[in-house]
Amino acid sequence: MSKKKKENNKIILGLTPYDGELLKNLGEDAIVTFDDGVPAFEEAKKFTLFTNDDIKPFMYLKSLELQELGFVCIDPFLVCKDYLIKISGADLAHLQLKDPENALVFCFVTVRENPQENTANLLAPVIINLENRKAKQIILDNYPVRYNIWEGLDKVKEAK
Amino acid sequence: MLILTRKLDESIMIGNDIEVKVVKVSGSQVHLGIRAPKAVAVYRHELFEQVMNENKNAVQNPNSDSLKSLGKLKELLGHKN
Repeated sequence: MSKKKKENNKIILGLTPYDGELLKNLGEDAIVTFDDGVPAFEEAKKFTLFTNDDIKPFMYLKSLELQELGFVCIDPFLVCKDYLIKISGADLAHLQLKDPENALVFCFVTVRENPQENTANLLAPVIINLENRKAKQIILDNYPVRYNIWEGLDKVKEAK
Repeated sequence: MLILTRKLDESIMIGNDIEVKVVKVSGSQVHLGIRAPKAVAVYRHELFEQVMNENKNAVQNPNSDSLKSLGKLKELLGHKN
């Protein structure tokens, strides 16, 4: 069940993990555009997002402009059960996002040698408007930049 | 960098539609009020810096071995569930 809703010019996302259906909507060769680039890599604007059975539930966001640039991503709702995103009016305008149902959300993962130390950046999720494929890494202020995925999964499991 | 001196309750304009006002000064802390159009994002700089730094840490070269090791990670996640 989706818990996406619109409230006071803001869109609030608190949805259950998606199963790849949304990703399918994006299409296999979909190009998403970050008009402002990604913070620290402002020159990188065009990316493709993909996943496959080998890396699921992770996804990989690959730069089309910088050959060596790419990010491992994960659905934040999979690792943090109470994750809630409020997209500001500024970000909604930037993405031209009107319908919360069109938002695809994921977070960058910092991969470490020990998988138990992998973290997801919940502070700055990426929102993609599936309608126009505009993307932006937005900044929230109430979540950690390094959220331990391993421990997060335990908490999600306990809550079930 | 342009440097302006302002007193309490004085403000500056950036363009026609962004106002930054000094609303309170207590010791080394300065409270700023910002009036800007909805489409303008306002962040504390250190938050943005944190995101930039973590993005640099998170970069995974598509040709790197660590991407292959995600398969292993997936396996571990599988065991966990």
